[in-house]
Amino acid sequence: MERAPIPSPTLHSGIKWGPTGPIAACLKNFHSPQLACLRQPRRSQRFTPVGRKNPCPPRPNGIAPAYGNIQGAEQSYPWGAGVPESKPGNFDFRRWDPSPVNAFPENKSESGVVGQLGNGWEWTSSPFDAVPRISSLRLLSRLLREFLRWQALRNQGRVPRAVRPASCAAPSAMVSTALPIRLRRIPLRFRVRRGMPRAAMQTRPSPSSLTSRFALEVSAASPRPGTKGMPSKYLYDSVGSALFEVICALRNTASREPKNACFNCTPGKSWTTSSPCRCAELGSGTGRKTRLLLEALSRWQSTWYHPIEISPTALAVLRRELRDINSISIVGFEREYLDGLREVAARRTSTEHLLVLSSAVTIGQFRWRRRLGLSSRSASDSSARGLSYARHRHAQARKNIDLRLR
Amino acid sequence: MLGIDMLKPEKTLISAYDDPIGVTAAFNLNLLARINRELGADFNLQQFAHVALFNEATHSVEMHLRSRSRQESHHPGSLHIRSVRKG
Repeated sequence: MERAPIPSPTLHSGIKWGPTGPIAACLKNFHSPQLACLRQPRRSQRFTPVGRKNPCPPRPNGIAPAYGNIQGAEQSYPWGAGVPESKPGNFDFRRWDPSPVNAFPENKSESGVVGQLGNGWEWTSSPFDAVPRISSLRLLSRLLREFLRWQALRNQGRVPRAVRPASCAAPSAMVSTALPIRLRRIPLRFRVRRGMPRAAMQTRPSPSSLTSRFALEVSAASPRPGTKGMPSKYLYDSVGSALFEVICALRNTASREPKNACFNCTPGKSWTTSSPCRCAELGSGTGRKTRLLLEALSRWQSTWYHPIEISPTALAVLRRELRDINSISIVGFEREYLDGLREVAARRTSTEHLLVLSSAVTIGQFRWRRRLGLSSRSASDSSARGLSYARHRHAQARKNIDLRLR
Repeated sequence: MLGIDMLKPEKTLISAYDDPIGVTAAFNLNLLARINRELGADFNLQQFAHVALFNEATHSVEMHLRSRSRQESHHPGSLHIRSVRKG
């Protein structure tokens, strides 16, 4: 395995930007190169609002660890009361070389969870691949979602209990960081790992090659003198994708709810076609907004739907969410807009119509419009084409939609 | 080509792209954090502020990371030192 230098230790020492309090602690974990490792708690010690009878008293900061051993007593660390040292895990980066799964049998959980790992791809020599029902990305997004739910409860004066994560690859100072998780929704089986052949091990690109690529991209994407721009694809690593999913959820439930609600097509505005159609969407996200349109299309003909999205997490969710629509074949592209459109165009036959969709965010980005040779009509012009978002329920919207491709 | 949007009040747009919880800020700052993580740089994230602006000319929201002070970032992989001006 290629050896890479340990990232800046300052990453682990009090990142206080943005949110404060528990969410900062939560994000501090995500900004460290490892995921939290969890220990299976007793049922009585799961995520429970304070005020109910619970054997674990809340801590002064309002968060009580849900850790407990089989006897129901609270313990300081997943492995008991011992301080973090090399025996239960690789704390404080005492070594970089990964160890295989089950290299520390002493860390076997009393509850039967074995092979506890702080971070599979880093702490062990086994790749951190998806296990049944949950992947690392889904876990990350779930953690964030659970945190937001926990924060909402706290705002209501109900402080839920939290589980204290402890990564075996984490600095010991992070071990006591509280992170709220509703464990009944998160299978802990992700901690149990199977040995994988060494050939399947994941490796990191060398920092020098990444640096040069970053530098090239930065210089090529400077929108204005004195301003540094970066290609959006760099925003969507595992952490960024999880955060983006939370952002989408926040916007859909708050200020941008109308966008999520439905398409409300002006009655009488219709498109019909007798030939096959390919529908490409720029920045599809998780496809929630497009469902109604696709359902309408599917009533008339079989359609190829090509979501073009830079976030692999969003694409995976989209495939899962839209797979129940009949007559729609989904082939997504994890590309930037123009690259994705080129892929779609290459698959298009001479008899096929191509419908390109863009949502609110992409309409405002005119650079790609010019590169596509489109007119420079304003965003309001675009919205004036007879389509607008409105606060309609899906059932009502379905009555209004009469979409045919001509 | 079909573009769909509804022009919303600026206040609504800004609150959507600069949410009070700070998740959008975390999303953008994660870019610098990623450079730190993967390239071994040492951007001080606390010295960057997340700024969301509505550009009326293009009807779009721009998000920026504004440096709170003049600072230097070291990139061990390329031996570069990148200066970041305040603002």
